[in-house]
Amino acid sequence: MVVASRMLFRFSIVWFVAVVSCFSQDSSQTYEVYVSKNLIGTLIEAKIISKDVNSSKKILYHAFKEIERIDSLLAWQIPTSEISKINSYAGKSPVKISYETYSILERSLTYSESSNGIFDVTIGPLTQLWGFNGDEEPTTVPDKKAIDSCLKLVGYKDLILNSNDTSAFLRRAGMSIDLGGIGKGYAIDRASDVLKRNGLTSFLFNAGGDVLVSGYKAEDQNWTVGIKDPRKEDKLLGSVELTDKSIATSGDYERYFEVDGKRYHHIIDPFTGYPASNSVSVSVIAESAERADALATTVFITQGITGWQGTSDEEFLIVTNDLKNIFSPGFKKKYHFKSIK
Amino acid sequence: MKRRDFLRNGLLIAGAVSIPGLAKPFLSKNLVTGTSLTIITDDVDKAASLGQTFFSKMNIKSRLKYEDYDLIGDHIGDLVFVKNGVLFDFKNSDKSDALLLKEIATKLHLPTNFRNPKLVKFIAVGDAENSDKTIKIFSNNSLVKEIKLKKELVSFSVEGVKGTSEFQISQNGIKAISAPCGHKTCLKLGTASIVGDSLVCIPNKLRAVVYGNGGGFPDAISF
Repeated sequence: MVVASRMLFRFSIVWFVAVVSCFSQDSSQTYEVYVSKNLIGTLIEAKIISKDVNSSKKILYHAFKEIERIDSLLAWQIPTSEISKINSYAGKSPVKISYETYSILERSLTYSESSNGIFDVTIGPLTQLWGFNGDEEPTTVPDKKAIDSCLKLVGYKDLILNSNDTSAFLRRAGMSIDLGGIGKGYAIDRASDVLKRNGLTSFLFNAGGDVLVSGYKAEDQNWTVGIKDPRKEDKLLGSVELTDKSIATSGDYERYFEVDGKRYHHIIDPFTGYPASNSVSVSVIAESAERADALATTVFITQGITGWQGTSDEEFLIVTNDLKNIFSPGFKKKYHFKSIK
Repeated sequence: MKRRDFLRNGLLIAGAVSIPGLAKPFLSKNLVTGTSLTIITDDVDKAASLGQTFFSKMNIKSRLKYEDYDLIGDHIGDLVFVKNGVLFDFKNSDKSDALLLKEIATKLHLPTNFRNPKLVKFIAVGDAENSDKTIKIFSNNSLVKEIKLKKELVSFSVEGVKGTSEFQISQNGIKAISAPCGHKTCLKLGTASIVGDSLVCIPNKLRAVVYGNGGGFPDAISF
C-alpha cells in the first residue's frame, strides 16, 4: 500500500513537471538583450545575458534611470546639479551636498594626489575657455592671457571638503569643478550595481567608449572589446577579452580642431592650460569604469609610465605621437590582446 | 499586387523619413541574413514574451539577440520570420512553426495600423564572415531608418531636433556630411564602418550605429 502510494506520488510529480514544461517557456535559451539610448550627452549601450527578456528590460530601465539621476547630481551643465551649486558659490561659502557627491569628490582628490595634480577636477575654467563642451564648435586657440588667468583658478588643493557636514567649497571665486574625466565611468559603475542588486550577473555597458563588463557573454566566453585606432577611423588597433573589468580610452581624435596643421583637442593639461600633446590615445583596463576613466586621462596627459598610478590588475596601452604602441607589462597576456591589421 | 509587396510599399510610404530608392521597410527580409523574427507591434512586452515562447520551441543552436526600438509615425504592424536567410511564408503554411507564428499574429492583433509602435527583433547570432552589416539611424532614441551597406555611394538626410543632418552611405560605412549644430563633431568622426561603431550628434539627437549579427565582432568599442 505504502509502495503504491509512493509510486503514485512519484508519477504525479513526473506528470506535473511534464505538464508545466509543455506550457512554460524553455528556460534553457539565453538571450542577449540590447538597449541603447542617448543619455547624459552620450550614447549609452547595454547588453544583458538573460533567460527572461522582459524582466531584464525592466531592471535595465532602472539602471538607465540611475544614470540620469547621477547626471542630475554631477553635470556642471545642469544648473540645478550639486556641482553647479558648488561652482556658483565658489569663493563665497561651502555648499552642503549629498554623501554621494561628497564621496565622488573625495575620490577625485585621491586621484589628484596620486597623480600629483595631473588629474584635477577643478579644471572647469580651462575646459569652459576652450569650449569643447559648449554649443558651438571651437575653432580658435584661446588667448594666452586668458589661459594664464584660468590656470590660476585651477588647483585641487583649493577644493575643500568637510566630512562633518558633507560640504564642498571652492576657495576662490571663478573656480569650477568639471567631473567630465570620471562622470561617465561613475555613472555606468552605478548602473552596473543596479543590475547586480537585481540578480543580473552577465552584462556590458558602453557609455561613449567607456566600457564596463560583468560576467561572461556565454559559457566560458569573455566579452570582447575592440580598441579604436586613433588615426584610422575604420580600423581597430586590436581587441581584448574581459570579464568583471572596465576599459576607458582617452584620445585626441574625437573632439578637436586644427589651426595651421596643429591639432587642439579636449584633454587639457592642468599645468600648461593647453591640450596635452604627449600621446594620441591611451586605453586603461581597471576594476571600475571610474578608475579606468581617471587613469586614462592621467596617463594620456603624462604619456603614461611616469604618471602611472594603477594597481597590479590595471593595465594600459598608449599610442604615442609617432603612432607606436606601448603596452604595460600585463596588458597583452592578461587580457588576450589580439592585434587587428 | 501581392499582400507582402503591398505591405512593403505601405511601409515605404509610411516610414518616418523614407527616401525613394534607398529606404527599406523595417520588415524587409533584405535587412537580415540567417534567422530572425521581426515584429512591429504596440505591445512590446507581449511580443517579447511570445517571441521567447516561439524560439523555445524552435531548435536554434546559436545565441539569440533581442532588441526593440521605438518607431515614429504610422506603421503597419505585422511579423516576418526569416529562417536561414529564407522568408518563411507562415500564412500559407500548416507547419508547426507557421501555426505558432499565426498564434503570435492573432494574439498581437496583426496586421493592424499602429501609430508610433515598437519594432521587436529576435536575431540568431551567426557567422561573422557571412553576416551583412546594416546601419541603424536613430532620431531622439527612435529608429527612423535601417539600411544595408551599399556598393554605390548614396546620400540622404534625416531630421533631428535641431534640423537636417546629411549622411552618406557606401560599401565602407556611413559618414556624416552636414550637421545643423554648432559643434560638427560627427563630421570629424569620419566613416563608421566597424560593427559597434557609431556616429553620434548629441545636439541634433541623431545617431547612426553599425550593426552586424556575426559572432566574431567585438561586443563594444572603446574610443
